[in-house]
Amino acid sequence: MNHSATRPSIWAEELDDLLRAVSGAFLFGVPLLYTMEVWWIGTYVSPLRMLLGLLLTYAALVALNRTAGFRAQKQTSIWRSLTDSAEGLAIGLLISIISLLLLRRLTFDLGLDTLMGQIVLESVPFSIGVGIANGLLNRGGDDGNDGDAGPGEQDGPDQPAADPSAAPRSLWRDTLADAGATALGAIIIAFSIAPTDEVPMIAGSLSPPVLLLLVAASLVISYIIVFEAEFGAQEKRRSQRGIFQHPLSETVASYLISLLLTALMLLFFQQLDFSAPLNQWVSYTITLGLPATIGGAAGRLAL
Amino acid sequence: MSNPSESGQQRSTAEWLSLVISLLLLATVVGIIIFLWITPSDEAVQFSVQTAQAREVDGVFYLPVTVRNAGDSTAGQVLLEGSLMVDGQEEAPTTTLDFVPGHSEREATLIFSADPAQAEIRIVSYQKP
Repeated sequence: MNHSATRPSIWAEELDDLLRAVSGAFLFGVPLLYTMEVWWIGTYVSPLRMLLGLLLTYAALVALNRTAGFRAQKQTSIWRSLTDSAEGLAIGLLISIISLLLLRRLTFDLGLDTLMGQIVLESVPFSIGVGIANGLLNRGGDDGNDGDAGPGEQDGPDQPAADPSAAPRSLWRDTLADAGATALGAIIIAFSIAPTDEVPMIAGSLSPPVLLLLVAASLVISYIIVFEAEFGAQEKRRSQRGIFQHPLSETVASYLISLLLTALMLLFFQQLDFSAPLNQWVSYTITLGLPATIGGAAGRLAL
Repeated sequence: MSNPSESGQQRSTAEWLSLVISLLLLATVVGIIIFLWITPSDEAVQFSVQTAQAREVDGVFYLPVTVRNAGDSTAGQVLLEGSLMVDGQEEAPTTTLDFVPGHSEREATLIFSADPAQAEIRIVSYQKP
């Protein structure tokens, strides 16, 4: 039990697990959050289909839990993977509710069946994201209990990465590498959303206070993904230097890079032009900035 | 960080708490869906149309129209048409609402070249999505 002194408290560990689940949910689910057909189908899906959808998602989570899951401690008991999967489904539903509210897809002039249909439908990709949270990005092999884990938990990929980080590297090179990874991740996720009608549709329904909330949410989610969830090559990152290594400055800097790229992508697809009014520029870039900064956070961890 | 066997099976207080909250949320969601399932909800689409005060800009009148669907089913491609006699000629602006879910409202605007206080507004058609 000597170990317990150096281990984080049970609350910190649980928070860490839950935030990892949230990260996985956003990484996988955000493209379908920006898909209007999902909102529309949600308006007329029948209650029986909703229940079936939840049941199938739960079954998928139980299966995914055997290889990926979202907990750092690998659990082997069936009972454990049943309860973890229930938690995964609940997290997916909660994120679905919060993000649909944030994007003003759920409003109070909608009927109860319409609300539930949208929540349940959008919760499916978020829940699956929770189920593959460990597998989405390589976790650092610091748990020593990943014997039969899936490819996401193998120690192999981390080994070569640890060596170059030990060698001295210049500050600006590390910073540039992080900025480049952010840009790449932001483009990978946001480029496929930029030309779609969802951007003006969502942006048009957001008032300035909601835009501010969306900025705050983007920063918080980006922060959670990179610093709290212990995803991927975290061990490697701690030994890296550069302005990107301070948590707050990294989150803000990467959000600004994401916003800049978002504006460029929207210009490229002619969603915005230089004659567009300021409020259109602001609302469009902030709307697309959420998926872009999520992609940016993933990019910094994946590369 | 390498004593999985001891901490592996025991569920901590924190884990119990998140499990309980999760199960409560799931029970609520499933409960609401079952409630929706057993309450009969196959009433057909049923529209009502409400107009607000028209807004005049440079002699053009913008008339906000709220379409409410009191039925249970969702209507798609809802075609809204206005009709107003201006100088002996009928003016009939139209617009299409992509989706009007059951028990929900959607807003549109019809544009007239004269004061639409006397205009007749109606839903012409819709599709089952």
